[in-house]
Amino acid sequence: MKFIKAVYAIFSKDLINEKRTFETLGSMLVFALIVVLIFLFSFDLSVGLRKEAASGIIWVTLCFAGTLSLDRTMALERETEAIDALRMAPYDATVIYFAKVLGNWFFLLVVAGIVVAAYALFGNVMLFTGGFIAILLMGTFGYILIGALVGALNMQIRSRGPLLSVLLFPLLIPLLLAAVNASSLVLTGNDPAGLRTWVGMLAGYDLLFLAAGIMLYNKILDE
Amino acid sequence: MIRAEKISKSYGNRLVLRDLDFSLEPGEIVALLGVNGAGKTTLIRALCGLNKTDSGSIQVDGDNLSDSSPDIRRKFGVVLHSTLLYNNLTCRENLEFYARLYDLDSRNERVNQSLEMMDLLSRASEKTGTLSRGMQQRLSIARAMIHDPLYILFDEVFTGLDRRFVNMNIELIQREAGAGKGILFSTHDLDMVFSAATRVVILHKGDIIFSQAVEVLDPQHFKRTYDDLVQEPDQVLGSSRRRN
Amino acid sequence: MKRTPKLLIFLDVISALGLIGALLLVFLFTPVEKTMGLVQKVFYFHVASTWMGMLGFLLATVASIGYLRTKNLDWDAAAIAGVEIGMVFVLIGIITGSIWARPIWNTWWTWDPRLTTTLIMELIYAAYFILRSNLGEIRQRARLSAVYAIAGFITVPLTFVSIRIFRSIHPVIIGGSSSGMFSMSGNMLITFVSSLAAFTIFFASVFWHRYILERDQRAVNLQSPEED
Repeated sequence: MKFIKAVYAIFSKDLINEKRTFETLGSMLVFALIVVLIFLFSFDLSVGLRKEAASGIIWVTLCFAGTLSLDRTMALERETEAIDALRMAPYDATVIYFAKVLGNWFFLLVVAGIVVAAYALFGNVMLFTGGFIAILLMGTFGYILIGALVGALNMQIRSRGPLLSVLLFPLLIPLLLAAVNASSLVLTGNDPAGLRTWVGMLAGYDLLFLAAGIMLYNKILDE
Repeated sequence: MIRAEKISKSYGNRLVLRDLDFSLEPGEIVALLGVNGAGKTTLIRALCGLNKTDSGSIQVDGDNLSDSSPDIRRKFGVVLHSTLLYNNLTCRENLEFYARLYDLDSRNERVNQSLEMMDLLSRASEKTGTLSRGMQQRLSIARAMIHDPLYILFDEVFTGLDRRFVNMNIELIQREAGAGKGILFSTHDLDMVFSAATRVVILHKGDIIFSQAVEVLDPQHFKRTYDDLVQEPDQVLGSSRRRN
Repeated sequence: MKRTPKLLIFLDVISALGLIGALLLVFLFTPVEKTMGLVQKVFYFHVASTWMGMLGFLLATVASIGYLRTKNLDWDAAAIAGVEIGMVFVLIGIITGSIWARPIWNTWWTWDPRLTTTLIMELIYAAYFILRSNLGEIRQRARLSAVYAIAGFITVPLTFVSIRIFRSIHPVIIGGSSSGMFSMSGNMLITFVSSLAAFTIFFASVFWHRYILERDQRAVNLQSPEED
């Protein structure tokens, strides 16, 4: 289908751009690793606590690091007004939404993988379980679904930096709650019912914001 | 044909286009004149659908621009003051991206032809951001035309660029019009009006105050009166504003 | 400026009477609650105010949808009125809740989900104001803040659901459960409903005033257009 090909074309273009400069992944990785290390230094936790704290620390880090790619991927389109060329392409504007969701998710997952590995390494904690990874995927996806929407809003205001976080973070709370709780529970494994509920919330959040993104994105890009 | 009827557009309190009628036929080359702030950019963006109008309608070959499917946008190629190119991608990669975006056949050939036509083959593998502005605009024109649009709109593309570039594009424009495309370009360059356009339209405070075929105009006389026309349109044109 | 509509003047009078009446009911009609004492009376206004705050946000979201569909700027005026009034009522709700909580639970604040989500809603709408202040052109501002209001409101049911997941120390009064801290006697119920009614009318009149104010202000701005 042409629409899917177009999504992929925009996504590839963003990857090529990143390959050239490495600025997004680079800054995200450096930032995320520093944040994780700061957390680990600041709270002198015993091994047991480090496992409990893992979810919270990792998700907070990802939330912050994620804003870097959300900002950057839309700012790229504003630089030379390429966004106008994308809007002139013969597709509904959601083609841009999906492409940015894919691109940002890709970057965030790379960073998440490295952050989790770093935490596991420095904190001496086992984190790579199937359940944890599944929740990582669901949570980051939800984050990007709403993040791409707010990123587009941010691009329209032509602001860079803090405003994106101010607009995004209050909307993320339920997602963050669900992701952190689900991750914790999957690591400790002692409350399967609770885990099911939180995972359900996570799924609900993903679906809800996917629908919202599809419906609202056009309105953001209209002029 | 693109036909705009009674279109209006405001930004805040400012009425930028007022109840304006405009048309562009295939084969025409229309030069759009007007002082800065007259509404030229807004008009161009409205015609291709980049900006929505507050009222009025725009028909493209019989179809309503706002109601139609996104496919209608294939008919447009737009060259703006910004290049709409990705500075970190090479010239070739930029064109390849747009060729992919429009789902074109034989992409490689098209991209090569495009590069050749705009005399950019030698710089094809260089990053777009390293090129001079003139070359970037050339690439931007290649980008706008790669999907062979029916209507090509240029918004202040030629301002401040060298003679050779301008001439090259005049040839290009005339070739395309000859092939049945409709071209609109906004400019401040009166020489270009007479060397390239088939019709000249003057926009003033959101209104079209003059629209005339170029062949019936006397260049010297027009140039002399253009400045006056813009300052005091009523005095120059008399109380009845001439329209085509 | 147009004259205040007659219905609104009527509403103003009714809401003034209603609020006074509710106050009288609260202090003279209802008994002093057994375990909590006098401070429990804050509850009547606390709940009413919070619910009105939510109503304000709901109206703002509806107005935002209305604007996106009709492009009529009056909807945008309604949206900003809804958010502003909503914020104030919720703030009153949070403060009265704190006042109530301090002697009962011995804390000004607790991270219980219902409280927390209410606070988050306030933050979302504060962000709404920040968004608006960064946008100058009225149509773009209306459009983008409408999108944000809708996105923000969508998170509300989700955060409300999280109440059911955490065990909450926040008293559940309607459809009471084991964690309810007091059950309402007949008199209390009457006062509660009356407070709610009084606040609703008060909300309606304040909202209407704010809406008219916004609309009139825009009309004044538009009267001096900057045409070149």
